[in-house]
Amino acid sequence: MALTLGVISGIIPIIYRLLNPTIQAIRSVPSYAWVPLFILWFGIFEASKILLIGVGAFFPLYLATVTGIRNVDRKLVEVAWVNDFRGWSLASRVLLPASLPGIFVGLRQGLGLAWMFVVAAEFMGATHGLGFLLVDGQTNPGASLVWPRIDRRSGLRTSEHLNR
Amino acid sequence: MDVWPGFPSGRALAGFLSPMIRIDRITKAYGGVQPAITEFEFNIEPGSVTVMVGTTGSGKSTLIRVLAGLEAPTSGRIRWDNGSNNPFGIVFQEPRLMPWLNVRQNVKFGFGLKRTKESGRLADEILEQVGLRAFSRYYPRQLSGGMAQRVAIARALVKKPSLLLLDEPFSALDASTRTRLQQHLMQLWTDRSLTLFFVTHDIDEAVLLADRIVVIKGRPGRISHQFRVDLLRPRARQDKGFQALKERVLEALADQKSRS
Repeated sequence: MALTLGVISGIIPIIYRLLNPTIQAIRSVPSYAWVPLFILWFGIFEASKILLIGVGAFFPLYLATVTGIRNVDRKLVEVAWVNDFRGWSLASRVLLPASLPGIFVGLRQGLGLAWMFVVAAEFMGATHGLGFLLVDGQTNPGASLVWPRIDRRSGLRTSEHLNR
Repeated sequence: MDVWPGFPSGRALAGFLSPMIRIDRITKAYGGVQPAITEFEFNIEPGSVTVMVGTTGSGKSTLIRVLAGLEAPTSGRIRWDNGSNNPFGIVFQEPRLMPWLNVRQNVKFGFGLKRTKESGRLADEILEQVGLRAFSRYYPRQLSGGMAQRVAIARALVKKPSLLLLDEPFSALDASTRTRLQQHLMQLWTDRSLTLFFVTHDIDEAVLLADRIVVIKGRPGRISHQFRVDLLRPRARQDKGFQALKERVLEALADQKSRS
């Protein structure tokens, strides 16, 4: 969804002007502010958690896609233009391939944020998972319970980056 | 307007009688401010090499962009005598190759959406002509500046246009590569019966290639002088006629500076 909206906004200026201010406003809402609303709207089970993770991953990917497409070298676009590429053919043959590096950066950032939002989502009435264990450590109480969870979380991110 | 006496050379003579493109009082202003070019009026004859020279900022590139359809003229019009569907190719100052496509794919990009079964063969044919057949699978990052510019020329020529627009295509290259590519371009001009419209600030290049030199002056740019070149090809820089014409063009440009 972030990719689709990002592509549409990046290609069609009027959509960008209409959509972008709203998306930027929503982006500035802290993730925890969504928690009570999502619990109210979607309950305390999986749907609200998945949506919260989705919100976390959405913005970096959307922004990277829009920025990538809007910053495609105008000189390449002109070459496509004089060779009669217009509309979808221009988008698929030039704009998307040229903005792929930026889109992949957004995917990577989105993946990182999604992990963070997994933990946040697990604060919402989960019975297991890192978020649940952190809450458990906080309420029971004992830093010795919390630190290993944070270490495990960091370990996951480290392994994510080792292959790059 | 100073027109150098003498007939246009070679194929341009026939075209002189029936222009391929009529540039009719073209003015282009960006954002309603002072125009970049004003009241341009001249013809491009089929088979000719028209070279436009002028100092930086005189609107040379603006005119080529208007001709290519990348900018709409503020006033005036461009009339194609063979109909508006006349294909043209354009070569920019930089090669502007798609970095994710290899050489052959970049050349085929020149077909736009009109690819046929023949496209591959035609791409190979033009790559052969520009001497890059062996580099078909190379990517732009693996090419030298001269090779990349030859790919750009091949891309512009692959659909067999009748007109090739060149916007200072060799200005970023070293002297020896530039000379080689100039020879290459003239070979393609002969082999493919092309019409060339070439923009440059290099007077030597203009005298070396042109049937006609158009000098533009000032801001906004106006045509100040036109010279018909009847020197035989291939031309030698040390030739007296070459030097004499070069002097005249330089004088015209100096005159331009004093007036602008």
